[in-house]
Amino acid sequence: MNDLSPPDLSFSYKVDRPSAFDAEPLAGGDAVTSLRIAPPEAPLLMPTQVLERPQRSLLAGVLSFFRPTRRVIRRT
Amino acid sequence: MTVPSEAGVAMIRSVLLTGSVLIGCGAFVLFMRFGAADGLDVMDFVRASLILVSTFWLAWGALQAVAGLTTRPFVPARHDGPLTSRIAVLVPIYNEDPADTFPRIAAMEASLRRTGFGDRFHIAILSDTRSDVAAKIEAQAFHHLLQITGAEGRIFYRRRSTNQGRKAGNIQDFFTRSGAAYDLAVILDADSLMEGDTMVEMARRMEADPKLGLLQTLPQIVKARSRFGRAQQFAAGFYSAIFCRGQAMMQGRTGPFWGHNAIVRVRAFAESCGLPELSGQPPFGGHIMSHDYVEAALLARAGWHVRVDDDLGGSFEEGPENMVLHARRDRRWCQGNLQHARLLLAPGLKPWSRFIFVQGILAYLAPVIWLTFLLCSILAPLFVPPPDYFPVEGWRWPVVPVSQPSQAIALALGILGLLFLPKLLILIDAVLRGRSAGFGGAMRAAGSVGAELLLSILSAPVFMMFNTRSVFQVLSGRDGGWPAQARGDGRMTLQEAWIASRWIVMTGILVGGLAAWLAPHLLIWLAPVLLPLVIAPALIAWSSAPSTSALFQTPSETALPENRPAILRLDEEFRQRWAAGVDSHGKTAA
Repeated sequence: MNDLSPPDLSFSYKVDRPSAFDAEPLAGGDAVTSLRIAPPEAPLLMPTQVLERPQRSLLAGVLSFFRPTRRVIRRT
Repeated sequence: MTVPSEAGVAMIRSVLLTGSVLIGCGAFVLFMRFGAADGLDVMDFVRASLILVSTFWLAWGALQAVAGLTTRPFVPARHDGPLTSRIAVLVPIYNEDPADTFPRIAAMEASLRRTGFGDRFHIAILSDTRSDVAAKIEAQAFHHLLQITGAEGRIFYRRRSTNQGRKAGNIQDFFTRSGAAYDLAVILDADSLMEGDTMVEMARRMEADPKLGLLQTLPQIVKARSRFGRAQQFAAGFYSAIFCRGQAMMQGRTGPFWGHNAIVRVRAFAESCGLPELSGQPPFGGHIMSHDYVEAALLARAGWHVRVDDDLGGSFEEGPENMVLHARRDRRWCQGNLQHARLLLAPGLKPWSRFIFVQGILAYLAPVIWLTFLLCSILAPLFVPPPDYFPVEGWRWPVVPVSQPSQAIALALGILGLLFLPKLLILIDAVLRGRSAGFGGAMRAAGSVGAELLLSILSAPVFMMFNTRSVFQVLSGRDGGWPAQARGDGRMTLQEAWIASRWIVMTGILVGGLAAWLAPHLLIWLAPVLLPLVIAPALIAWSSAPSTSALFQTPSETALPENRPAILRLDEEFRQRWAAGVDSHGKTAA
């Protein structure tokens, strides 16, 4: 599940980020065909979001009805 | 820019939704009363249900226009002072002609420099071009671009070796490699054109509201030449601002992203919008085609605000020049929107985001519903029960069923009203407020609205057929792929138009023949639909020809030369310089 809490606005990466904006641009990465000037290298993580719920079979869905009961039994 | 409070947004949504549902239900009741005249049968229920959905959809659009007319945009005070953000302007290209795209980039770079904040902006051309030959031309053109702009170090170019994830993947690739160098990113299309002032103002609004994750502008269509293109350009300029304002009132902080001519907060976008590949095969699985709606929904899910500011001018794009190109683009959008059915239950999405997905799906299903309604109406006589002249036992006198044409006429008038009234109201509003002056004056604007309505009436059945084919192609599992956008003058000969639309002509003749056989009394009602189908090739070819009419003028054309948007003048200037450069450089950008 994704973290749905309000976004952190502290911009911590600002502190550590490379000063590529002001410096001479660097060449691109391996998978990129660079032409003379590529955009500055300043990696940023872009996590893949969850958009699909895990698929359950009908049987698993039916069985899930009994799970709370089992949990209660375990707790007791 | 302020948006209505959460309570205000909820109220507007409730009023418009309730109103639309009530109008849809009203149409249902009217149709059932009409159908009851000769005894109710299953086909009456089917048709009444189809009318309910279609009328709801029409009412929903019409009420948005009314909402747009009854509100005025808040124009925020523009602030001067420094701009602290570092901004990337991203121009994704995919098999585009550099001679068309690169002069636009030069114009925007010059426009940004004129603002005095050019040093805060970098422009990155993100090529997904597949052909090595085309890429070589791009590379030469890039050198030429640097020569005519002198912007080495401010304009960048990179080409991906694969086009994984298409446009969304292209943007994602940039963010993962270079995103940390920037606070904000203006995302454009290859045919986008934006004033430097507009981009600076967008950046300022993003700086002023740290919770704002994405700010969308309302791009105006420019440079249309054909009859169809100019009618679309006029419609976008004349009506869209009002519809957009109505939408903005309802969307609140869960606004739209249309994929381009928008600015995003890089960190918000990177954290929230990494798109997965959906399980299964295209068209419903694989890469998310209409990624923009999903990205807007993901930003909202993560707590960021997404907003459209319709008061921001200086944002332009180009549109398709003929009906076939329009239908081809719609084929892609159709697949993308239907694919959103997979995401309706995605975890954590705001209810409004889910509704937007439903709205997008319905937009492509609505023409199918109309066509189904027409076919059901033709087949309906087969289902009518035999008349019962003695419904009351023991009654001596026969009861002759009374036709209810008034119900049908009332329904037809109501539907026509929903179709045309919003546009007429927008015309009246434009005349009263003086907005029509930018469209050639009140009389010319009225003439343009009339001509646009006529063209819409004629083209709607043809688009209904294209749209229906697209839906069935998608539902039958055919992937439309990702064809490069065809740009240019788009003129089609009658022969080309015939090849593209002969199946529509055949369908029109077939349906007309069926109606003449089964329900000849319906032919007069069906004529406005069937006639455009039969003349589709002529309509497509005629509307693709260059327009010589004085109608369909827009503010960017009617303004005095010195008052025309500066970016359009810069674009023309750089196009000339580009062409001159090509001459002197041989095949530089040929």
